Amino acid sequence: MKKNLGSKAFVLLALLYLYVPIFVLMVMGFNESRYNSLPFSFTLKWYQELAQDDVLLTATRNSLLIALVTGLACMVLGTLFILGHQALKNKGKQLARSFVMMPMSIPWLILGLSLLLMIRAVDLEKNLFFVLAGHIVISLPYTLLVLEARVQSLDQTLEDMSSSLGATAWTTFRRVTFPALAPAIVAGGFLSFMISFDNFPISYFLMPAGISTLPIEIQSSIKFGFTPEINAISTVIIGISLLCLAVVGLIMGKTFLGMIGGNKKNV
Amino acid sequence: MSEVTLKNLTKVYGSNTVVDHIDLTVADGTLTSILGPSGCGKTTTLRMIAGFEVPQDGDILFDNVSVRATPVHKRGIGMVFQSYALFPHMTVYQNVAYGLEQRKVKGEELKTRVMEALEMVHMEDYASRKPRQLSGGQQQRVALARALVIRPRVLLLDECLSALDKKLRVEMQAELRRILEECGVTTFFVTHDQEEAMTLSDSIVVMNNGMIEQTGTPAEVYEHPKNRFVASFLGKANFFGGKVQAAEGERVTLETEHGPLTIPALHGAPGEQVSYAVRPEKIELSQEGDGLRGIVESVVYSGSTTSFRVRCGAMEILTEERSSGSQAHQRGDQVVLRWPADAAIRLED
Repeated sequence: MKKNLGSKAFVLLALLYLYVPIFVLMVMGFNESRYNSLPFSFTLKWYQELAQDDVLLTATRNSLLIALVTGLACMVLGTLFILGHQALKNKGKQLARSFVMMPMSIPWLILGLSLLLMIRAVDLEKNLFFVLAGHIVISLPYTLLVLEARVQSLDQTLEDMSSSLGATAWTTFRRVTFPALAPAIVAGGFLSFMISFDNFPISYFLMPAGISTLPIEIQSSIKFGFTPEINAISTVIIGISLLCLAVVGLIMGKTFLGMIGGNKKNV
Repeated sequence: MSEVTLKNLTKVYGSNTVVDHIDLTVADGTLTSILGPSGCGKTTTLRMIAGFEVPQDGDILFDNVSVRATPVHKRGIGMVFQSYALFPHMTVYQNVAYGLEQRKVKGEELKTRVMEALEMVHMEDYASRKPRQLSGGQQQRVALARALVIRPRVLLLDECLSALDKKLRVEMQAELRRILEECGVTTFFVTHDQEEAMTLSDSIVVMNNGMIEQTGTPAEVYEHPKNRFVASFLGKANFFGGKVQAAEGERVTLETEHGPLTIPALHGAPGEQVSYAVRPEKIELSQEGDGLRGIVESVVYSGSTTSFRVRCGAMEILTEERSSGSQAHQRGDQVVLRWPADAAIRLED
């Protein structure tokens, strides 16, 4: 009993440690004080100022745009990879996977820096294409993780079944393989959208001068002493991130349960 | 619905010959079980008939026409896998309609045929459900309806009952038998369960190491197994082997590795190397009289039957009889074993 209480207290502490700062950040976005100080008096002032802050809003729009393109690109590339990957054998299969997954184990800072150095080395200008390429490289592994989980939970005989019923390879893809993968493709897209949206290091190194993203703006605003506008925009980001995660969870959770409860029940 | 012929069918993976030059002809409308231990090549054989695997050598004929070059989706086969492989994102109705849609069946005819197929497996009330909302037995029925609705020339069942629990499996066996008799479709049923093979099939093909060991009706294969493998894979058997020393009437004296042994058997000339199998239920145990003498080592009561392990010198013999309520023989009892001479099956090896 005592041990039980102790472990509960520990969990509580850990949760507090994780979430209190975020909670404080969100609350202070609604506080009158410019310096995040107490006493608390409710205001929407900072959100109003945010709405008129062209720099922050443009940065947000840039971030959303980059994240959107990254998300879509990861959906397409991830799907193509997972389909092509199945056709590979042993060594090639392992190699191809490691190759795409690698960026997950390289620190983003290093990856961003090395991309920058490479662009310099071949004497090219920084441009949005490289930013996107960097974002896609780091987001794709996460999309693939989601897709792989889905492929593994799928009954491998579905495609055989479809062709035995008279369907051509194309019909099988269109009516069986793709619909079965679709939830994971969408979920993977949202995940990579999120990864791209709050990525700082890659954007920081690769963004052409004069264009910035939201994380870059937040970082630079700290230099000038930041206003609770940052709290406000952070709250918005948290909202967007949670929404993305919720969508991923909703799609994957439900279908995972469906697959496990439906097809594997008696195995 | 077709007669199916396998000619010299061979499949090799690397240096491993999985199916080794097999020949088989199956009459139109019959149910054939392909039975064997895992890795014996039975599933590969089925997958070759379906067209998922391409044989290195040999041919597959439906009604004397080769289908070797016919791709899976044009071969006109129906399949049920162990996992059922129902399309998870489609309803029961859509699953069953899928094969008909590929055959350009439309409108009223599509609807009628799908519903007929669902009625045949008693699943008409579940048409709008998704597979995950069904139990294993129900999924099984839908999978069967989906395979049959396209009126396949050949139906292939791959261990399709193994995922069900025992009681349901026995029910489904009877159900399957009824449905297949109704359709009269030529069926191959791959299984490693000998009981299932016996109750379901018109004929049994016993496979081992990529080769066919024996083909016959369930009774033929059980009563007259050709060799040790078949005798032990289908049911239980006691084996007696050695050189015949003397044969008088229905009694043969063998020179076994454990010394001379006299058993009732019809065939065997002096000097010949022979091998016999005797099914446990053919052996009669008594307290006294003529026969093999032994001591009961263990008694296993399993409801309708009781089996005894009897030690006769260096040999151990398994016998089985209907349970009589009172235990006739106890552990440690001296017993005499007897069987009619025709119960000793002469084996090839």
